[in-house]
Amino acid sequence: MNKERFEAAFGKTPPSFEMAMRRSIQAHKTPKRPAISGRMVLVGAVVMVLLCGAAYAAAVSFGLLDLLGREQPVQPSAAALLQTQNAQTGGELPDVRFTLEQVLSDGEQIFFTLRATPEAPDRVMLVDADRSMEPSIEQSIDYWRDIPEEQKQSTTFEQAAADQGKVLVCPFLDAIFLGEETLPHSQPTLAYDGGDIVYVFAADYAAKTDEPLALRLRVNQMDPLLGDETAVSSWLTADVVPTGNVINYNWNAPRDLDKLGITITQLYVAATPVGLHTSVVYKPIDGADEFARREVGDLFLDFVDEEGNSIDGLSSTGWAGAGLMRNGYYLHEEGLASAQAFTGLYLKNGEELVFFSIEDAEIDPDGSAKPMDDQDEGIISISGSFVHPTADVALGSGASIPLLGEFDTEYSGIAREIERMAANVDLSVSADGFRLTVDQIAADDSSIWLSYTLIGDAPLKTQRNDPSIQGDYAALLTAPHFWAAIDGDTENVLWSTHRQEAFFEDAHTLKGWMLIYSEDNPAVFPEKFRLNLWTYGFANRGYETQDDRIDGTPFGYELTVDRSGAAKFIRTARPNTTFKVRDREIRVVNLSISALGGMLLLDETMPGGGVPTDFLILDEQGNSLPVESQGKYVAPGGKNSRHTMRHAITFVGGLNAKSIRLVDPWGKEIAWGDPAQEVVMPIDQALPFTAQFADGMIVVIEKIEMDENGMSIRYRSNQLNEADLILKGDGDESPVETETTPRHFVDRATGARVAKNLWRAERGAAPGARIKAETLKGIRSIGIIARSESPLWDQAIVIDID
Amino acid sequence: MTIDQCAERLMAMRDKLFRVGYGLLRVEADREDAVSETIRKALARRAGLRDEARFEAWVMRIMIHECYALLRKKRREFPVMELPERGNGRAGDAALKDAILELPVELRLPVILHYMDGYTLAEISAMLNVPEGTLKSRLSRARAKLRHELIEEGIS
Repeated sequence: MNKERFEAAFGKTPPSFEMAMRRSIQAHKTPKRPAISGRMVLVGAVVMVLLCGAAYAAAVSFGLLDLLGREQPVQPSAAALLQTQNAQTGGELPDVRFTLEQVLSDGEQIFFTLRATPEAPDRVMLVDADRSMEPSIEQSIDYWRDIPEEQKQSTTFEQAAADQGKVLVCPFLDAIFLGEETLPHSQPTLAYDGGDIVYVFAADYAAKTDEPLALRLRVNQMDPLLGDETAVSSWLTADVVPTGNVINYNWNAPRDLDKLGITITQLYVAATPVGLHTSVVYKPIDGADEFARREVGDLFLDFVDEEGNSIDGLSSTGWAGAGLMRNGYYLHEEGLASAQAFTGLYLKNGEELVFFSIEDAEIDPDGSAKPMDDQDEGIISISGSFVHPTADVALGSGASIPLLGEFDTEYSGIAREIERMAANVDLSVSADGFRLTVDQIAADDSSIWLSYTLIGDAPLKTQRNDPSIQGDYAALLTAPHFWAAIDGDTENVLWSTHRQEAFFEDAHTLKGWMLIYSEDNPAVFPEKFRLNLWTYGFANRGYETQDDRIDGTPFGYELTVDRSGAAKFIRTARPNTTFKVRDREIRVVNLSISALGGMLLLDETMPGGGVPTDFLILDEQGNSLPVESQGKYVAPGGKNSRHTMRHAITFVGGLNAKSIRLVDPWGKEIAWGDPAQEVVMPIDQALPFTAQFADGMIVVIEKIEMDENGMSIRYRSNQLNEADLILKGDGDESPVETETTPRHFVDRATGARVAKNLWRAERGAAPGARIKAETLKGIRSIGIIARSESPLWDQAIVIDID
Repeated sequence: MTIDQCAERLMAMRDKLFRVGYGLLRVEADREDAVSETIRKALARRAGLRDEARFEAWVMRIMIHECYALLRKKRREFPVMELPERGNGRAGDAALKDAILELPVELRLPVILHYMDGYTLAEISAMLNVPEGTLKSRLSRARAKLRHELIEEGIS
């Protein structure tokens, strides 16, 4: 066994994993404003009412039904199932006492609330095991009450406990038994209540008896940092009545869906006052290549109503037992191949769904099961794929691209140049209350640019429906993220969209454009190619499916693209030359420059574990061409091996350049933590203002605009990274707070960099404004902070352009 | 370290994070959850990292913690979730992959971190809180088991 074999064993990192990372970075680079949700206000109001009444008892501050119904309300009859004051024993630990507060059995599941109380509140602070690394209580918990301000805002739970001279203890539920059965249960919902933690658990349990059964819980306490159990309690035991009110629907007759390569063996639906539970059991047909291609664990099931609209909450993916695949075919192993798809749906008050047997359905040629014509009530449809609209487009035939936004947008200034190399597409898909249209498309050697319009029947929701996300970010987090494949190559999906813009035209309409390319395995596109575009979600609506499942979403488009007509608008160089930078050998594969931007494809041979080299890019006159992204992949393996990786560097400008120059920005080793260089510019300084830094680095502030809503600063820089621009008042602190981290982009028309942001809303601001006008007067200066770069200006590598 | 620098360094670790996630979690969505949570914590707590040279080890420790936290939850839900994933069709060396995933977790994780991610024993020792001597012994046992498994399968 050699090192290379180890390194290759798990295959490439899939795009979905990287996407998850990028989404998480995007989400968490944006600080979340502490906000009181409508639900919390409701909880607070209930608590206030109770506090005013003599009947208030501290024991039940957070009702089970209230927390259960936080997504959608449960049916009123659920209240009749609530059990309280169940007789109980046990549950004591050295530092924590557990109390079972409420129980509810609906016949399919048992829900219960468990309160953890510190035995010595002056000495012990409780923290949930999975929240112990959160930065503060305020940021991590949805429900809380009576937590001291200083504790909520502490840097960490660890710090909060230290500040108060307390020991941090994690309560932890280890096992649940009902009668003699172990109950598997889900991740609990959590509420902080004073120094207590209230958990709401849901455990699957099909009712079998009306007789009381013993619910037994084994509760532990755990070291919050090491995760080791430090104490195990006696069993907490309480009598509960596990009955419920369930209506079952069951179909057991097998049904082959040849197109999907599966046999449905069972379909089960259970409706209760609390929720609706479904499971579909299926197994692959022996040797079915269609099913194998989709991977065993990811059968996509979509439940739709009689009009073909998805039933909210009932889209699901399944997961399968173990199986074997050989040469792309699934080999059936008896007893191992069945799989279940689990879904949950909470019905709204009074809402009822009626289902027919799958036997009553007919199979469409596309593999979907649909109702017979004589059925006029609700149905279940099991759909495996979506058919996408198609179009032939010839780039360079001209397109009419609307100017989006009014000020400081990235592409507006260069839209007329893009029009010349683009084509109108105008392909629409309508599904699930949305209409998504791909309006125009353009392409150069390695990038696809597209514009789109999204219209919702209802007002569009921002991703995660977070009201604290405002301004440009709100539009970007509502926008679809398109993926693309060239000639059906789903192994090398184009998913990088470093550049995108989106704007709300109104509450229902969003327009946007984006640049897509492959950071994984960038290549030069053929002159004619088939282009699949698809998106899995937008506006807080997602289609859960496998990453390369082009047909796993209704919102897909198939184009045949002829880009020969756009060639005259693209400047290229394919020098195939090799040069060395430090311990790297670099081959220039392709350089293309168009109105979409510049892209340099490089093959870089580097030590194992190395990160591809960064470059500053200049034209022959020394003008900086801002770099937007660089390959950031890590070569596999240890330091004793060498690997060649292809990466793409994207940059802006250079449409008329005769040559470009590549400069290594890391001329000397920069240690993390080296003091940053800062130049402070008075706010009333005449512009442009040039901030000079060591090693020839400059930042030129060209324009500053601020009003009661936000700011926009335009600047130029010869740095690789964006400059940090820090607003300062009389001291170092800014008198205004911003809503998010700045949105940085490069104006494609001028090459200027732009940092935009919204102020965080301030109490007492005028209607429509986010802060008071006089607050702006407190801004005295801007700190311009340069990153630690040390370019080798005199060792530039020159690439001539055709 | 600025938030952008932290984000860049996290993205540069993507392959290493993926391999650790792949080695510990069976379900793709869980791996994505674990890495998302790791990123959130790393971005939020980066100011608390005094020695930035230890960034990778620190992030990897968070990732491992998150994977274990998910495994703990999954164990409550479905005991079979601990079974290693097999034959999922992803490109790679299927025989070696299956053999690695069959290793018990205390042997599997050092193999991934050392042979696949290229960390030194000292670095892994800091990540896992396991003495270097113990790690050497675990790697030796893991190699022996892998060799045995692959010979059994008729693959050299």
